[in-house]
Amino acid sequence: MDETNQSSLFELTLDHESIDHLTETARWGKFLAIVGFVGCGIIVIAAFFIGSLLSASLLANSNMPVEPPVAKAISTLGGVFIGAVYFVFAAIYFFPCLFLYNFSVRMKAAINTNDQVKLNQSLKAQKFLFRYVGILTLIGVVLGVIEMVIFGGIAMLALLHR
Amino acid sequence: MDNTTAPPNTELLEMHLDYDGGNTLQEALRWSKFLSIVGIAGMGFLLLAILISTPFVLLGYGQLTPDSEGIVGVLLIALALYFGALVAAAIVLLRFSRVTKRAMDYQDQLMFNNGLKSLKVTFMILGFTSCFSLAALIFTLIYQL
Repeated sequence: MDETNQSSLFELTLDHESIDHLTETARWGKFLAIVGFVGCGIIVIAAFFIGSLLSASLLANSNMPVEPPVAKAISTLGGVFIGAVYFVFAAIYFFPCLFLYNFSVRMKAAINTNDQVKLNQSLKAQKFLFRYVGILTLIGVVLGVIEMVIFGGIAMLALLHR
Repeated sequence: MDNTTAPPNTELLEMHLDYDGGNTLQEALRWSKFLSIVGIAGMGFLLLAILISTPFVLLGYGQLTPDSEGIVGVLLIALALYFGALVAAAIVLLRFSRVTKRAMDYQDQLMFNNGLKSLKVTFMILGFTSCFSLAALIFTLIYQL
């Protein structure tokens, strides 16, 4: 059974047309990955700036009924939390860019050197990319549904108690 | 000229979709199909929301600040175009997963090439939209700072 599958897959080759498409795909993929890395860098830089700015802003505008050192600690924690959230987003965003970069670079190398191993590695990177983004999307959809259910429930309760 | 001197695929015969690559691609196709369906639904919903809300938003802004009506209109059109492009990318990605899957099932080289062409178009659309996203990100950060 396996042998049948193995031999049947050999019929699909990378001819000139598919090589052209894959070359162009790799070029755009590399561009997309680099734009993604730049985006990650911007988010990391923003994490520092926005975190410290928020701390200062919270401290300056706070009317907290606590001692000044406690207010300062709370403001700093607020800034650190927002900075950490930005860092987490940058880390989440980094990996698909890395997979996309690996896909593009390996595909280009496979085409240039006619290397079957590199082609398979490139396809593997593409699989990781789609899987990673797919799992993130799945998590996002599930969280969205949970959020809708919770807020819908709260709204229903509020309407019933009117 | 090339066709008369040498049969196609001669120099590239070493590269093909082998068992390992085929399995990998099949899983990638499964995930890309899921992503494209969620993308079409999600982005389509957002596009529809923008299109439906545009007249109301313009009316509201027109009454509040008549000068900003033009800018808000341009921003909404840009946003609609952005989400429209993402819907198009998701549709082409769906075509990639369906056509390539069928090509692998029927061992059809022409279909396989068409599938790869769809992947190329998806990446091209995403490339253009990413430039827009990056510009928007930089603008937002400058505005926040």
